[in-house]
Amino acid sequence: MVHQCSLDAALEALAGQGLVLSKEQKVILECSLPCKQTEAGVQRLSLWGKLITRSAKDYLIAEGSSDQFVAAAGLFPLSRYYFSQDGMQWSDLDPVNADVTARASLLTSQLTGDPSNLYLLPEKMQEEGEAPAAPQKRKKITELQRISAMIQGISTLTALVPKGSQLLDAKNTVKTNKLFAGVQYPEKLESYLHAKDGPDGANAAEDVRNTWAIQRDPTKQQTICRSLMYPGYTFFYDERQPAWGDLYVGTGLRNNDLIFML
Amino acid sequence: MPGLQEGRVEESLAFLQKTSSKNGQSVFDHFVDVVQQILEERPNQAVDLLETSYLVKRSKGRSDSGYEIEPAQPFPVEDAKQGLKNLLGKPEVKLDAETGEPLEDAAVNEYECEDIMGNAALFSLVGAGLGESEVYRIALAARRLGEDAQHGVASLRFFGKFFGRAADYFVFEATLREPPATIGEAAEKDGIPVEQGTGPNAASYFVCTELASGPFTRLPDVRPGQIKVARRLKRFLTGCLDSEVSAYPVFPGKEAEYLRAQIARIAATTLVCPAGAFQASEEGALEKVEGFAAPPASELASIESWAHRSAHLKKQGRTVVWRKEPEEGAEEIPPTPEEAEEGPGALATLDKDASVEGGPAWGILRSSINPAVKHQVAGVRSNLWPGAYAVARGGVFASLYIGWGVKHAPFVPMPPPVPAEEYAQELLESVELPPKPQPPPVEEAEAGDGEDAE
Repeated sequence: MVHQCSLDAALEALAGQGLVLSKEQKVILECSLPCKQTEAGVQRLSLWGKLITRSAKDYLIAEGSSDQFVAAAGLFPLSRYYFSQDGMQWSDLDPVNADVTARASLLTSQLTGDPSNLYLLPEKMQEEGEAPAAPQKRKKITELQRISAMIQGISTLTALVPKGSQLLDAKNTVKTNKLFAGVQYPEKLESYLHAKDGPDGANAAEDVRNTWAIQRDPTKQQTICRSLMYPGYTFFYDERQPAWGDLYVGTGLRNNDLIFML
Repeated sequence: MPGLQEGRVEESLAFLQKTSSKNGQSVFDHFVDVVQQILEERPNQAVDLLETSYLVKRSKGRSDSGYEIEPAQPFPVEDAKQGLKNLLGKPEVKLDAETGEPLEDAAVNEYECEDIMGNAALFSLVGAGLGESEVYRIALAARRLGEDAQHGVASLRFFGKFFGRAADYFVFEATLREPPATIGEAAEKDGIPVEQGTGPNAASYFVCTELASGPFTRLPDVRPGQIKVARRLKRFLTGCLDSEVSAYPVFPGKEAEYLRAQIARIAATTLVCPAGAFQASEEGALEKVEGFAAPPASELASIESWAHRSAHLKKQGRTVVWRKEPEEGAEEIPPTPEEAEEGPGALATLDKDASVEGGPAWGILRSSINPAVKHQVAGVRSNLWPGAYAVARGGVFASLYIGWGVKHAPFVPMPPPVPAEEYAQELLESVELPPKPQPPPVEEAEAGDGEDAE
């Protein structure tokens, strides 16, 4: 996700929200992220977050991005994702198509921590009128496909940036606004835009009501936005710099029960 | 310019000077501005800065990227100063208004507290916790709570942080010097008595939403009925203890009671310790084993080496199943499934926990991916209550919860209540007219009219 600060600063700002990495992971990432950035040849590589698994072999996810172009159909995404379980070896995550995403959304169990794990899809995903297929004939997806689908879902529905912090330059490329002086009303959801929509896209207040929890600490002069749709996504905005950043640390599952929980 | 014929210069200039319909500026004006600025400021790499000119142009006149942002709210100087004073200053001694002597109950309370910073260091090694500065503020706030004679805390532990939609709760677990006042009528509507001073109410819980200046509120003791209903709900906390818990089934209480019920559930499932740290005395109470030291991390990295510290919370909402005494002479009533439930015994190890979605209930955390690293810390993380952690090293072990107070389980809405049974008499369809009512006797009818007129 987009950080306008170092990873250390983002982790420092988000630690109070329970988004922490172990000391060893921090040491490893300090070194392994720049290495991967050079190897992968992307302009920026930042930590996207952590997908926690039931075996505690969590997936660290990094997002590599180059300049994004705005085409007629919307923002042309050029992000690449990489995963690692030890923080040292980063592997590419292949993007998945809409079909796999739809199938992955039917699974509600936690990730296992085994990248090669195969998930059998629930029966109802089978074609209508078909007899219940034997387990070996039922559709399957791998854990890596699931992770890819999860990341897509989370990045599209969450990933905020302060309004005005990005610009389209003359080549219609999304650029960081170097003259960005801050947002006027940091305690309002209207001040934060969805990164995927580009500089003139929708703001977080236009989302389904009650999908965000926003809190401003007047002493720290910091605002925290937490997604209730994907609990674990947290965005911070520091008025003094201004600096901002976000991370996702969670199970990767969408909160389908939100409507009952408010 | 080569290729540009005489006479077309004017035409080109005219084109450049054509004003934009949007902001009234022309390309010519803009070039003049840019050249002027470069010559005035004489920057080192003027050509690279030309890109900035595009940015200047694009960001000009956009209200959302103005150059001077007035702070929406001024910095709360007084609040911040007072907060620091609360966290670090000596407690204010209340004086008697008449004599000027310090009041007796204003004496500083003596209390014991776990090493919050020390435990946080262990948690941060396995990738859990709240970050150093926040934990330090918590440790300072613990002093504020502990020294307050009004609460009479004997021992104190940081339980965790519960996220809410508008504010977060910091929860402290405490034992009190004097047993808290009993919570009125002990029995529930369905007759199940509250466990007072034991089971889920063995400890008291204090919460605050603001570490520096927020008041500490002692949550009321939890009732079995509240635990039962809380198990059917899945809700986000709001951050206000007085807010209603509007859900079905109806929760008997407000958010304070709901939070307390969730704490009881979380504590019952996720308070763990290395196996052998406690032993059960003859009366069933747990005692800390003197001089206990946790095994090395390599051994702690299996869930058999961890044991539950708190008693299992049964379906009845109690840790000890309660059965109604049969009346004398009456026949023994067979126990309901709720009453017949037999949970795991005290100090059961974690490998006996029920699986979560077919997987393990706990994940093992280690401070290093290389087992050969010395002085490692090992911990466990609950898959049932995401956000619940426990760590141990040497004689030190601690538990912590940081999360939304929501169990990892799909929400299953409770079906509406069974419709009330109809009148038991057999209903027969009939084609006959109902019997004609008897005309009332005349005298009685008059008397009746008199009554109606009153």
